[in-house]
Amino acid sequence: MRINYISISLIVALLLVTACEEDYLIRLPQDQISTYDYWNTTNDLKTYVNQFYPNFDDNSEWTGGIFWFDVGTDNMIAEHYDARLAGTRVVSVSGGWNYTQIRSVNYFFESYEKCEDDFANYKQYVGEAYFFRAYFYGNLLQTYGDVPWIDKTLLPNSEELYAPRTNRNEVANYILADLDKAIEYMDSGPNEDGMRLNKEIAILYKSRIALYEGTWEKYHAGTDFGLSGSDGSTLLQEAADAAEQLINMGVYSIYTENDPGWAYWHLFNSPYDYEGHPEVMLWKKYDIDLGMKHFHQFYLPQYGGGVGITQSLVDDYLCSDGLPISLSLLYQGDTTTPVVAANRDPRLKQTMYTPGWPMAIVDLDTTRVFERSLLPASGNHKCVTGYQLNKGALPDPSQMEGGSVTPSIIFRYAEALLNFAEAKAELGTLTQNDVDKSIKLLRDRVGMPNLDLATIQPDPDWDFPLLSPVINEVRRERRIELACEGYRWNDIARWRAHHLIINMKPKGAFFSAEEYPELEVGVSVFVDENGYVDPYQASLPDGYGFDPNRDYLSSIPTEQLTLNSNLEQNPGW
Amino acid sequence: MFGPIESLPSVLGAHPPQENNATLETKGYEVSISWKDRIGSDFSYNARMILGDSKTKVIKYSNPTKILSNWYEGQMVGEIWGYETVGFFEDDADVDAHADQSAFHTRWQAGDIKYRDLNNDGVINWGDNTLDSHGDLKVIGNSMPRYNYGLAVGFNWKGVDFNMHWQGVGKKDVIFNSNTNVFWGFRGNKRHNSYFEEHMDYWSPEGSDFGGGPDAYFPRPYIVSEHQKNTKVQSKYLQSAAYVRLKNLQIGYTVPDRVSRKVRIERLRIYLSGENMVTFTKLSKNFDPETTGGLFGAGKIYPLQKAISMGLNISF
Repeated sequence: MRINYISISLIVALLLVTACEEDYLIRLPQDQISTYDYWNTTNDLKTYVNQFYPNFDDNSEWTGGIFWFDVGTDNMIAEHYDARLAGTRVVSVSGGWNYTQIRSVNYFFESYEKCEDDFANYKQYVGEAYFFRAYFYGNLLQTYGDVPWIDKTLLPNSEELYAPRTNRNEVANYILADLDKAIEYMDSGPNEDGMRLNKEIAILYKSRIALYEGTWEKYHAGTDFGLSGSDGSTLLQEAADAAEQLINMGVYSIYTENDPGWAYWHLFNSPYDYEGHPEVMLWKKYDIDLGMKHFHQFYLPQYGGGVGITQSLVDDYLCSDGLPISLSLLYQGDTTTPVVAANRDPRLKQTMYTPGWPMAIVDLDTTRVFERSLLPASGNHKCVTGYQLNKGALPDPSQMEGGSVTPSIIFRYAEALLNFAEAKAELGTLTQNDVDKSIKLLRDRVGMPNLDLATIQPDPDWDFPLLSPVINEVRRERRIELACEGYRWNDIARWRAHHLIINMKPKGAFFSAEEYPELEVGVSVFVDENGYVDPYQASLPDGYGFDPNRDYLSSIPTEQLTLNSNLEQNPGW
Repeated sequence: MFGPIESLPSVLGAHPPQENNATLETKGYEVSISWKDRIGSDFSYNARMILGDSKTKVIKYSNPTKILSNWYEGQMVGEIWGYETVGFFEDDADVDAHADQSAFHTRWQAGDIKYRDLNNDGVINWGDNTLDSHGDLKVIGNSMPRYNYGLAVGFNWKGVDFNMHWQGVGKKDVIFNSNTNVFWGFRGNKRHNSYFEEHMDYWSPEGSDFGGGPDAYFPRPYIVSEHQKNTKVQSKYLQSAAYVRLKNLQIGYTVPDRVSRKVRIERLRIYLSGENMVTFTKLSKNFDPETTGGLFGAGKIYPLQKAISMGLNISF
């Protein structure tokens, strides 16, 4: 019996020893990459951050790409009114409030130090990760305002799951801190032909976020969306400094051509790519052979796309003498498209089609020109307002059917100039010298006279009559230069510019029965009492019902409020 | 057993892996009766009937808030939570007199759905969407099939054989979400709508030659997202997927041995067989009660086919 006890305890001991061999129990998958054998090389880190690039907005295949991003603002409209502007959104139940990408970035931060290469070799990708976290939080900030700041990967039992929302100014500060890291770590200059992030893009985005939050604090002060005790000036200074830093670095410049009549248009319809481009800082390439294509050129050079440019945007273009239409003697009125575009800032003709503008060019021969807008068409062919978008359209018929590969701009340098001018104008420190190194460059490209701060004449049609002339002109410049590229809603939101929306009905072109003899007023086209196309006359008789106490932010999905009782709903919802 | 993943705040940023996190209790019965007999030497027949029914209840599951978008303890599996439909609004006065439905949309007019204010708070909503606070939601049905039954009957008479097999479900509710254009005709977007004949039966003040009118089945139609306000999960559009179907019918004739052996054939049988010959169901006719799903939305699926085949069995 004694021997038996000994042998049994030996066997048990042996089993225990074997069981304690940890490595024995770890079995790595043979056909997948697991986290145990990743994170070793610089290339692992690079491959990991590559997953975040598709998050940049380039819009889906069957659209006009970035050039439809202003749909749902006072720049552009679609056939049906925008729910946010109309105030018809309802509280959301689920969806949105997405932290998936943020978790993935946080996972990077918890893992990248395993990399055996020198930090100097891979710091670019650490910088990119910081940029992306800032970018994802930037999107959340603009949608929801206060959001919980989560900077590590959580587990199902983590307390942080039930964290309250972090105040938006703290979120903004975290974003700016991440961007400072991104600026510190990333390389300067075009990276992989401008298809990877770099230091300058992080500086530009920093100026964007600081300007957004700075103007938000300034103009929402005293409302439910405001922040007590701050007028935004600190952030505005940060925005101005970042933008100025970028300007002074001289890495990027404004794209110009000898003939200023085309440079602006050519900037947006590059048929090849933006490799080595002076102005485009980050862009997305397409390649039909790889199945990377879109159908933007199915719409832009052929059809109205079911969208249209508003009269409000068109009216904001200066005349070629640098005066607004209310003051300039060159203004011809707006009876027809050629008339409205005559003697105007050349960017107008390069943003919206005017008769005679080439729509198809084959072997340098123009085979089709624009005659009139597709106001009479229906569905995706229709131009809703009578002002048809031209920006981004490539007159190459081979790109119109079967897919197009025109590259998509993600960041361009002109924004830095506008951020700089605006931040300084808001701070009240904009000098003529500042204008000369920012707005003047944009005006020079298209052959427009410079903005002369000393001689700004009061425009009775200024969008912001209560604000200074300088701010009005700087905002006008921003609206014109960046028109239809997706900046407008954020601008309206941070400027608290709901007076441009509430009770308004977006108008199209002056309706000319001669131009569109087949259309019958009140039946196939709606026209207001002054003769302008009035697309929402029937569907929105009282105009937009935007609620300034609610609609600047989106509602937090009620499901999230239920799952986390520490969350509070946004004002008005 | 594996239940659905626990509902967690989405700041988690991930779906946790499935785990052994639930206990279910299924109670039911199954009855099977069969009978075979022979009358005289030429006629034999058989019949077999089966009937089964069960209900499944969640006994243990972690859902501390008891949010209705996930399992909760005490839930009957398959529960459908929805609103009770009163009918269509008749006019603006009717809208004004009714509870506030602005949680779904800002605009309400004649022909839109009037939902019942079950908790009498003057507002139609989903409360916290939890078991303790579910606003005007209630259980309106259950999607689990109940009373599954089958009946097989056959006989042989001289060389003739006959068999048929009926199959069915006694009770099953199905709801088509607002995105299901095959059911609604519309889906809240200008793209991918599909109008079948029955979709003409929508609300309009006076109707048209194709149907519809104030007593139509479908509410006032919208081609934009406003469509969603009328297409909430609700009692009026709860569909019954109960059915009875003749799955198979076969008639055969075996040539007598003495004839077939003359041509050196052991056995010669010809038959006519039909699959899915008849179906009785109250379900919208754009759907098949056995296949209500579909990869691109309910109803967009290759349907079960009615097949008729003739055959010949020859053994040497």
